[in-house]
Amino acid sequence: MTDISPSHPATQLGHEKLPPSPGQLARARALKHHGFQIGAAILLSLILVAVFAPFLAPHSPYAQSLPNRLLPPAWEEGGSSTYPLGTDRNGRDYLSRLIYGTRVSITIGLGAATIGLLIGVTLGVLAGYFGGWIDHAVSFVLTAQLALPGLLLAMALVFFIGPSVIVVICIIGVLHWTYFLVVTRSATQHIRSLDFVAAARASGATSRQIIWHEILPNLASKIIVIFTFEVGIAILAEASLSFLGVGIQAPTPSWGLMIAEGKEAMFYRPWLVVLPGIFLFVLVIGANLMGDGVRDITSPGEKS
Amino acid sequence: MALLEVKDLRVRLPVSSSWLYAVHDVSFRLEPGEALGIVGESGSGKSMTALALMRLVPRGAEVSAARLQMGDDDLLHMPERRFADTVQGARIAMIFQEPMTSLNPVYTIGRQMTEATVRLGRMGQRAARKRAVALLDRVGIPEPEARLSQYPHQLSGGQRQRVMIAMALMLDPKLLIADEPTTALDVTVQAQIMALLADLRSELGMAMILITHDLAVVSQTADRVVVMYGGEIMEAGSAVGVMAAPRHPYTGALLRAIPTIEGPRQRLAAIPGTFEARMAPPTNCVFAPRCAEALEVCTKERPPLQGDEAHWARCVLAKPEHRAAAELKVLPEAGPEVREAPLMIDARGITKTFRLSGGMFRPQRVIRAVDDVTLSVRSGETVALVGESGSGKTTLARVILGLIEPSAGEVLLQGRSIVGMSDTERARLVQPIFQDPYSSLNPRRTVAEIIARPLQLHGVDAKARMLRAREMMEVVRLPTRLLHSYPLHLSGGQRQRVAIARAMINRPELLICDEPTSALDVSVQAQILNLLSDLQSEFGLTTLIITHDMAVVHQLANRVVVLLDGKLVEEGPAERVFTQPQAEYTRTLLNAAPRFDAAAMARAMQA
Repeated sequence: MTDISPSHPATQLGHEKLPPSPGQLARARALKHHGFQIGAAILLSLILVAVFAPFLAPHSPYAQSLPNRLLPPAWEEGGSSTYPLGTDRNGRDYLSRLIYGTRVSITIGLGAATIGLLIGVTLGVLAGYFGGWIDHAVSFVLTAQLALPGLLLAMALVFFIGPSVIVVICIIGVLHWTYFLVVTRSATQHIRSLDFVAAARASGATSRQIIWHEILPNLASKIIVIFTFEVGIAILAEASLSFLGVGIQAPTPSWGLMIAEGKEAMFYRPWLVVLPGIFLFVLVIGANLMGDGVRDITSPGEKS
Repeated sequence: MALLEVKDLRVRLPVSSSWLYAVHDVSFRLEPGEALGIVGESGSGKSMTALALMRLVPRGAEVSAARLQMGDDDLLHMPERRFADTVQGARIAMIFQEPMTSLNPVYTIGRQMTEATVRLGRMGQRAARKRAVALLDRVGIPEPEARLSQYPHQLSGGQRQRVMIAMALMLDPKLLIADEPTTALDVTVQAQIMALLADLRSELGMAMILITHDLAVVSQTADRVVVMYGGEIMEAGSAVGVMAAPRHPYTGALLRAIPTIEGPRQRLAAIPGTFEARMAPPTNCVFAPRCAEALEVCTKERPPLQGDEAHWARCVLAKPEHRAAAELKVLPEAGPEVREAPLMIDARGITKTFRLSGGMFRPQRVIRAVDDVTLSVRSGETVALVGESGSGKTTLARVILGLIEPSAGEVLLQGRSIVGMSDTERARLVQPIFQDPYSSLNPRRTVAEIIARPLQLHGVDAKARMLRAREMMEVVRLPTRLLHSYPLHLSGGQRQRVAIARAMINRPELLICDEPTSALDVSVQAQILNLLSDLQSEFGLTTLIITHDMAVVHQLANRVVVLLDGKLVEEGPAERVFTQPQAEYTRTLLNAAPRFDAAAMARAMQA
């Protein structure tokens, strides 16, 4: 295999070929997994779209052109090639707004999932590792969290704190850590009971060293899988909040907000709702395909 | 007519993109009422042979045979439906190794026992329950009537295995296949189950195939023996013939690798190397890479079958020369107790209780895992801590290791209380080796990282760590090319060597081995036991060995401590405990240990 890094001692010494490491095996499986490849391709291209939005968008997403309000896409009667996907009711170019909307969705998806990961994994590992009253306390917080009506709470919080991208990221993140917690807690409980943890303790390792060196590496693949799913969930949550008017505020282009704005004209300009819906669908399915793929690749045989 | 005739049975299993050849050209005949032992280590194909007979092979596996005949029926071409109704369970019944998972936890014993009988229309519900009660009574389950409405979790492991046996007998099978029926059970229970199986067989005139890795068990139970290695039969013949005068070098080596509980202590003749799964049909002798007597021709050609129907072997040698046997050396006597040496472990009045919280509405239960045990081990001694599951031996070991705090009592190591020691100080003094080599290594770390981790915790720099890790790999005889491989790629024996290297890298004075070989194959067990005795003499180690296996005790220990239900019941020099056990329980343990006595077998053959 060519992907043994040059710093690998075995290749330096010219030893015989090593059996593949778990990482190499996963890479070999990734090359065969079509779902993973499609998902990764979707995510990667949309991330590129988000990064290079200023170069890709034909117009400014904010530029209004009142004479050109509610134009249909170019392929429909009355459409113009200047506005390939038409315009909204303020005469803004829909394609440009969709392209810039990618930024909001991806930023919030990644940001909120990261916050959820930090909260969920920290609590999960602590509860699973230490057990006892910490576990009881964490379990109580979890039960309380699961009993909260998430969307309602998010609306209330945004209403009180005031809307901005950062606030939306934080609120969605704070509301989406339960999955991380449940999975890492039970996985940590299992790993903690294995003999290599006992061996580490017998070698004088502290709890902190054990968590970093022995436990977290074994959780990594599970965490990545949940993270990709949570990205999709967070993107949908942002769209829901924006649709309800407590997420991203106009005129910032957000797909959820665009659907909300378009719904008034839904019956005679359906693409105002359909187009952001398609983008949302493609992005979330990309994230989910990738999550499925990562799960199959990192833990073969654990398919549900 | 033979009850069962198997000719050239082959099984191959799909693995990623190729085939694993699990069983290759296995042939045997079974007469009515006969007991056949199939002996082999892991990967020998012994279980897969049985599963193929029962059509229980894993999905995707390919089974073929020249002949698979039971009485007048061709099992190979029998339609699925008919096979399920007339063969599986009805004429061939099977019991499995793991009594904990072979019963369905959500159905009552009664329902599980009567279900098949009633469904096949053999008996009405009432008659089936009556038979179930009679069978439970026969297999030694007390209050059989009441058991029918109980669930599997209400029974102990031994009782569950009895229920499994009773269930297998419901349809009055002509053949019972027992796949490692006692491996998961305690020694004393093991002996009872084996005796029960033997009685049932003679009572019911049923044939039996006993699949096991334990030659001693086979020599006591089977009429004929088939020895398998790498998916092939190496040797077949009468039990007495094969055990007393093995014709295949593998059988001979296996017999010399077993520690005994009698006679002088000998260095075990371990079979070098490990078994590797075969991804192509064999073109030579499958045992040649590990054979002490291999000739050049063995690696090139298929070995011929030599001998007659009554006893044959698949080997070029007509009679093995037992070259390896000549190298056997008798170990020095374990010697008297080391009376003068200073105390290494001084554990006083150790008690450990566990509280089982019964949930919100049930009272808490308190379990005394270790009950006021006082134990002392002198420097340089090897002490065996003997007991069955639930005896508290592992808990006691973890208390001494400082992994668990005792509820009462105190542990002194070299005269100092472990409570006052820092973790790293304690780590330099005492190190553990655990039972299960599959869970004792972190799957995400390389061998080098695992072995050198204790040094890292003691602040040794990377370069020195690597050097020491290589050194230790040589000490435990692991090839250094494995330095950067992951545990995934190692065999059980290799993993246990890595665990030993990790334990030894800081040169501890005391090693606590918790069942160090019970998860390993016989030939590998011998390698590890030899390594442990080498390390003891080389580094002057003090060792505390926790085991249920009296043969391992005999092989290594010079003092024995016996635990029962958390209490110490006997303590004394190994010699005395083996010859004049004081406690009733020690006698039971010694009597229950399966014995393999080559001399007695030879006499039996001459008679």
